[in-house]
Amino acid sequence: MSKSVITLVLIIFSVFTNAQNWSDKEISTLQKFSLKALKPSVDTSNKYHDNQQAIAFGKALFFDKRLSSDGKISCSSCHDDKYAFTDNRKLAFGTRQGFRNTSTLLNVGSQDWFFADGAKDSLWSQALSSIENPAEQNFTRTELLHLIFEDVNYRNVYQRIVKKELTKEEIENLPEKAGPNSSLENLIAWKKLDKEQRQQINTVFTNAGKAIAAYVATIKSSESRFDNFVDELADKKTSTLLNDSEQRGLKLFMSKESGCANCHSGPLFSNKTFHDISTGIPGKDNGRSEVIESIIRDEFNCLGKYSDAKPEECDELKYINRDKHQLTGSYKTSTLRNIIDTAPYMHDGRFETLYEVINHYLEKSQEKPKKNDLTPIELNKEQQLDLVNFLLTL
Amino acid sequence: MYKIITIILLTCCGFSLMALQGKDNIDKKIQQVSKNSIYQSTLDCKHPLSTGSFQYCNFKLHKKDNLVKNTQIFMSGGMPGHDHGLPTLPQISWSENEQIYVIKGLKFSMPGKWILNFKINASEVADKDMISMAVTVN
Repeated sequence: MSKSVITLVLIIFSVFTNAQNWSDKEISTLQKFSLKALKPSVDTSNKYHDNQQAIAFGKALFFDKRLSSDGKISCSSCHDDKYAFTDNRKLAFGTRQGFRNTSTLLNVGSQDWFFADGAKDSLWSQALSSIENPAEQNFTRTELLHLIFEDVNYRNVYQRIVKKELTKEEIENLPEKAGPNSSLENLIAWKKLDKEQRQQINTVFTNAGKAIAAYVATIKSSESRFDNFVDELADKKTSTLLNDSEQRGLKLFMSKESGCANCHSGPLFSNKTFHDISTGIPGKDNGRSEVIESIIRDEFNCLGKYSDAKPEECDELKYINRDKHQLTGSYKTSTLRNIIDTAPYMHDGRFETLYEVINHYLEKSQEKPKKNDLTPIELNKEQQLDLVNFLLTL
Repeated sequence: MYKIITIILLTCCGFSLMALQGKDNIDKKIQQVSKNSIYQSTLDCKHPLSTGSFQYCNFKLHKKDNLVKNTQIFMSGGMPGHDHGLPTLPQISWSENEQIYVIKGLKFSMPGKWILNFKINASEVADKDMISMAVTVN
């Protein structure tokens, strides 16, 4: 009798133990982090966002090395699908070395701000910035226009997408190289153009950027072991798809003790906003605070003439935080998805491993006087291992 | 023996209930008196406050039970536990149609305790006051 009673007690105990491990509320919270909770990307500033011809055209431009001053660099040179659309380098290397780590493009269409400091408010203006950046593709606006006109396939597909013809008369008098963000010579050539010509060039330039953005917004990650675990957990209230260490790591990740989920929240494991975690370098790299003014003045922003959005659809820009003091040293919360493939980490690629990242948080969160957004975090070695094991399931 | 089994069962039930209950500490409508007790205010949001998206809220201001209309209010806020401000720059303005102050551009980036500050910049110096409202965001 006593044997069967004890067995019964053990079974009941085991059931209740599981219920405590992953309560309904916890499972409901985890579902908010699942890829299934990710809403389809929307970009009202890009009227070609869902246009299939634009997506195909954008994909061709994304992989085209002719969109660079030396003919050797395309978007895909740094955003390589073999490395979760990063380059696995500490710092990006286009036509020359840049000063930021390459961000993954997986699920990037669901972000609100682009680049580590959020210097751009749309995916298309981000793409255009990289095409022009002297350290990235170093291509000028008129070079892009000439390329689209002279490549008959590009010209035809472009004309079909925008439903307007590119005429020889529009193109033939334009300088080969001219743009406002290039060398002095190319800037002078740009300044010599009249306002109407510059607008005409900008229209083609932004349409090309919108096509690239339409393609990039289709780049999405597949469901991870974490997503499958959450699905099974929701269905059966228990799952072994993550091992004990990974489950402990997940629990820790979601806890107040680590505070990770405060900012690395939602299906992207990012709250898509900006925080100071003491990674800025005062006087050299101040992050978000350095780009606020340029975002507001940017001719390619959501409220600008090249945007397809209505003013009421530009709330992120209209209500942008302008407090430079608060934003000094702030960078966008990185997505943690596919983190196994996106090393090195942080906006400047300063850490090779996730253990180094965790150590940074442990150290900087204890600093007194407090200099960042972190609250004190203390994790022992076993907890750190569990946390890393969990992160690798994303 | 039965005593021990009963204790174990009760303990298990207790843990289970604690796990299943989960307190939903979410704010939707908050009332607060101003620092110098000049005003009574009510923040009324369409949905419980949450992270990630813009919040649709309005604000009522009373002085001795009279509705205070169309006065200048400046809004700010932040998360004291993390020493950071709001992620956006919300604007509050009087709506003649709705007879209420409408808040636009309010967003929260993290779950937890936030403070919202409303500086009442009334034309009469004696009527200037500040309202600090503690809200919980899920």
